[in-house]
Amino acid sequence: MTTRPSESITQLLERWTNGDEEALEQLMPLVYNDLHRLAVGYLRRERREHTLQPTALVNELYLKIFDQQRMNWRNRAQFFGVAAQLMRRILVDHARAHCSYKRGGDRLCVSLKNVAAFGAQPDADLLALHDVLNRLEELDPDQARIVELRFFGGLTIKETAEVMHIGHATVEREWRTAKAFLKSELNKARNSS
Amino acid sequence: MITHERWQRIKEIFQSAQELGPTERADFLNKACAGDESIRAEVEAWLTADASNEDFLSAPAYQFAAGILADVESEFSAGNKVGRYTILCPLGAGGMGQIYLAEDAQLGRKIALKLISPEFATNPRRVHRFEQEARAASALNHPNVCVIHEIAVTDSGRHFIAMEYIQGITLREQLARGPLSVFETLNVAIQAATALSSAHATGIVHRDIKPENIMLRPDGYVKVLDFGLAKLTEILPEQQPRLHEVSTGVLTEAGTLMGTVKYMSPEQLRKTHVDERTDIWSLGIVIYEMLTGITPFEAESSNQMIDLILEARPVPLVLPAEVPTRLQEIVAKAVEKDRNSRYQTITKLASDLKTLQMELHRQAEGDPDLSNKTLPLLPSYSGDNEQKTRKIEAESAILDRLKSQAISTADFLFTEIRSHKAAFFTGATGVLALLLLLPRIIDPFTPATPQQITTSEKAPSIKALTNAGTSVVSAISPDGKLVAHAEEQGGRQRLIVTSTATFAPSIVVPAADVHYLGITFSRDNNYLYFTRRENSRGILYRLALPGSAPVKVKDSVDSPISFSPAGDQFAFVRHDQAKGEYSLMRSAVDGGTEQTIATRSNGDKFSVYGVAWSPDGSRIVCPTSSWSEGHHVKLVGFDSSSQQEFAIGDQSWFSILQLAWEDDMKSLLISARERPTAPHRLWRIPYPSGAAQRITDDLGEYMTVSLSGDKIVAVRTDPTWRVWVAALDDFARAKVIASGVGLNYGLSWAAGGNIVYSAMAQDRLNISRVDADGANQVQLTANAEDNYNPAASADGRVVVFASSRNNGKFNIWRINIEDGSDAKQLTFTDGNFYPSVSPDNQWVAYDNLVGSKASVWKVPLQGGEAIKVAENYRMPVFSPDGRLIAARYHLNSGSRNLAVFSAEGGQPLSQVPIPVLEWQRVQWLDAHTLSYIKNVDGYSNIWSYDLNSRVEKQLTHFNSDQIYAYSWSPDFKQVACQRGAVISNVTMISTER
Repeated sequence: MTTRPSESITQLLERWTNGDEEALEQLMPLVYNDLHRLAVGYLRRERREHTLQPTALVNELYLKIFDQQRMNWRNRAQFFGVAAQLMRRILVDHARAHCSYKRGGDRLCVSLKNVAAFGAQPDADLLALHDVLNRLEELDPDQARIVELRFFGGLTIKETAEVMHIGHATVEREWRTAKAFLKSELNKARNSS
Repeated sequence: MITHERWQRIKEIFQSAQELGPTERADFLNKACAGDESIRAEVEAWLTADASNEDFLSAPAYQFAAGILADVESEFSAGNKVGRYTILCPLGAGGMGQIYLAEDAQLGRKIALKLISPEFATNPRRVHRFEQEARAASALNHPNVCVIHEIAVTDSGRHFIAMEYIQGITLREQLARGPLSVFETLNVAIQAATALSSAHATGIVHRDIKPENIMLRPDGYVKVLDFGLAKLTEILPEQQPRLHEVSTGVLTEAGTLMGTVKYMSPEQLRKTHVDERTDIWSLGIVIYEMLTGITPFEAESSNQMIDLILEARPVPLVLPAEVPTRLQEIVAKAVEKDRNSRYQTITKLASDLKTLQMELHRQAEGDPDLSNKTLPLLPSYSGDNEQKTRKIEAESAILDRLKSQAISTADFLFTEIRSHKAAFFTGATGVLALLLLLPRIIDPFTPATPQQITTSEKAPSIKALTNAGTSVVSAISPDGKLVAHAEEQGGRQRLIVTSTATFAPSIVVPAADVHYLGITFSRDNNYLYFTRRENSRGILYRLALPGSAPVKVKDSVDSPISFSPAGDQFAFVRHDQAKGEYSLMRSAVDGGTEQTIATRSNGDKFSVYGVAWSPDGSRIVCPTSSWSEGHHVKLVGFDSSSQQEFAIGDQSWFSILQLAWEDDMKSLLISARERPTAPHRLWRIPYPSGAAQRITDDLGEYMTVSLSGDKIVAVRTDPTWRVWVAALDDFARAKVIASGVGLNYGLSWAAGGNIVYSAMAQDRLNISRVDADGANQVQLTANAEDNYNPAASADGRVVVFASSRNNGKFNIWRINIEDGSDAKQLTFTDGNFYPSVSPDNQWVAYDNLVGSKASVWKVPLQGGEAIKVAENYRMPVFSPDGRLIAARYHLNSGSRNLAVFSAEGGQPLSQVPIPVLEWQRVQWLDAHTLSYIKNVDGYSNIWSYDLNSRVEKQLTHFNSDQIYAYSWSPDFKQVACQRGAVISNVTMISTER
């Protein structure tokens, strides 16, 4: 809880990748705090400039949170993978807490109102996506990984290809397929609720 | 649910289908799904989704999640960023919100971060008033005021204040251990009053003086916190309840308010409008509490307390018997209920306290019992000083261990906790949290001084012998009966002899346009010798005591002299300006036969501030200086018969002024600074070991030293400064935008409208930026040794300056004006000062003091090869068109002038009749007009000189103080000046060894 990120994030990431779930418990608030700050800054900037520069935030995030650790990290690919996974955990946990807080834990929260926009109900959308992604993980772990890296990790196609040691075209094709699956599953969930 | 096999099939069909056109796709699906409608439905759903999937998941998750993340209010923990600061740990909770220890990574320093609770920021008017006041307070730069670095708002709208992190304890914590002694009380009260006095001078009233807001640092400094912050908690006029409501409601709600009521003046309880006299009241109550341990208004409820304060009868003061009557009177006058009967200015209160302190020190000298309790004027909490009272022993012990780093975690923890206003962590969880934190916090904690320096065992007692504040040099006669000193009067200097028995002064040489370099009594006490500079020439005179017309003894004596034991010869230093040579000389007492002992040249020098001939006649000691990885001064001795040179100790100093042998020859006393911006202190150098021991340890500088027995007489100076901004067409409204005590070294008004200046901050010279109205003061350098002579680039984007940050060498550096970032070293030789940026932002001109002749060089602003421009110039300043440079010109004859020369180098194009002051750096008003500082009647103003018409004109109309540096606003309608006064008095210091 009271550790400075420059030392601890690396160690905690290492511990977590070695299977220490407790490390994740300590890791999340640290990264969360930075994320929170970045997110706030991002919102302000967005409002001011009316320009979306997705890569800027991603780069900033990695630079600020993870860059110091990158040098120490055994393997860049693994690092990105872990970072993306971490990001997913944080966002989902946060959305979950936020959702139950706002709606008294109502299951409605998880149903989808507006999947495509991902804006009106971001918490709900995120939680639904998380559920569907869990299913995808069982069916096609590689595709799930691509989604995690691209969406939660903010990696480009090229970076994802590097990290996963597969070709660009494969990433493109699998990414497109995964999105089609996820979207159609989310649509189904929405229509049934 | 989809199975693995089905998933694979659907995926393959989908991936093939999406590569096909619409018509081919239908055919393909018919074949591929081969009657499995559920697979076909799935594939169709995917294809539908895919068709509208352009934007789906196209941006990373946390972009849309920003909205979720941002609307959650989270308090701050280690690693959080607030502005540019990184939270390290909570320090405590103040009245207005949490205080954290944080790190300013940019400047590499720890700061205290106060986050204002949102409830204080709900009223916009209040917030506005708070910001205004806190900004004004942030302009205060005084050693006894906690520095405010920044007032800003976080991304989520939280107001915060970044301020100096002070290690120490609050007066409240100190009082928890019992009352203070009279000496301790005076020490704390004087420093707090001085802080208040500097604030009041700029119109800031503290309003909330109480023991919680006064911090005691282990090095003896007292710091007053939270200037300007009372505005936030203050009750606004529209919210002000009627009096009975005050007594019954608002003020009883919380212990904090109750605590504050005790120190509130009657007018503060009654009205909203208060002036500086409310601070006088509060400090009066605090002084009473320091002496007794309680306030005069102890009561069971705040109602009773308020009644006690508001009722008409005088404050009941019951002080311990050992408190001098005078101090009782002072306290009584500070807490007069009618503010018109009270002290009217805090300055008067401070001066009464100081006078009493001096008086008590004087008395203590003759009283062994009292003198054991005597503390140095400053500091009283020195951790190195064995002579501390038992009350602070425990504290010091912890801090001593802290300093040596040989500390246990628990000690460190509790010192960290205590070092801020309120203990935040309680119980086991808190300790655990801090234990986790420990290894990280301890990192930046480096030992205080690398040098092996010890302080003398006993603190000296110090008393002033003069009070005019203009003393220049001083000496005590060998028999201790007379003290002679030179003092300045209206820009001229005179020589005065005072009896130490009667303190009756007599002027022995009337004021003249000369500069006294040194005074020496003859060994038989019958004559007074003095060296003074007249028209750049050093001349030695003698007069018979008690007073007679001076007789010239010898020309070309450029230092004070020192007599041989028999008094038949004296030693001195001669400076041959034409050759750039310094010679240590001896001469017959009549000025006749002379002999050279040794010569230094090529940039190496003998000091012209003093030499010392040993009591046994065998040694002549003189400081010698050289440039080698910085400026180094060392003490060297010469055998008076063989003239052989030997070193005394191996310590390197930045400057040594005067020196004197003790009679038993066991040690030398010197007035010296160990680094460029430390004050000149008095040190004892045991002979022959040379390991320096510090004698004085206060804020003052000791410029001279002479001895009689165990009595030291020295000129002590206290420099103060302020930055003023004045509009030339409305000079009466000149305004102070920053102030402080200690050295100050230049300022520059940048094109962007802000002003950069160099002044003491955290015991070093640092560069700060401030808006012309005093707002947004930001320190741009820190933890980078000393930083001098800032000059903004013409485009106002960068600042160039001289810095000793690289191994103590003086180089020109460049930083961004915005935040001090992107520091770049531009020069790599040594002795580089006074940079000036060319108007096209291409070049930086600067001077180079290494070598026998000062020279001007230039280097590209972006970095690159340095080019020598010309020799014999200093302090170059580019003309507005960049083609000329104005500078100080050193003539071979040794005299100095101000001159204009081509920016390509060469001889002066014109020499200008502008006074040569040590710090005179001329400036350009336009292509043919220079401005400069001129001192008339002992204070300075800015004048202009037209190179064409040769007309001189006075531009500013100050009628006090010196101007050290100034800079024009970009439109030349306003000027920013660094002004100050040096208060110098002759003091007598008694040490027991």
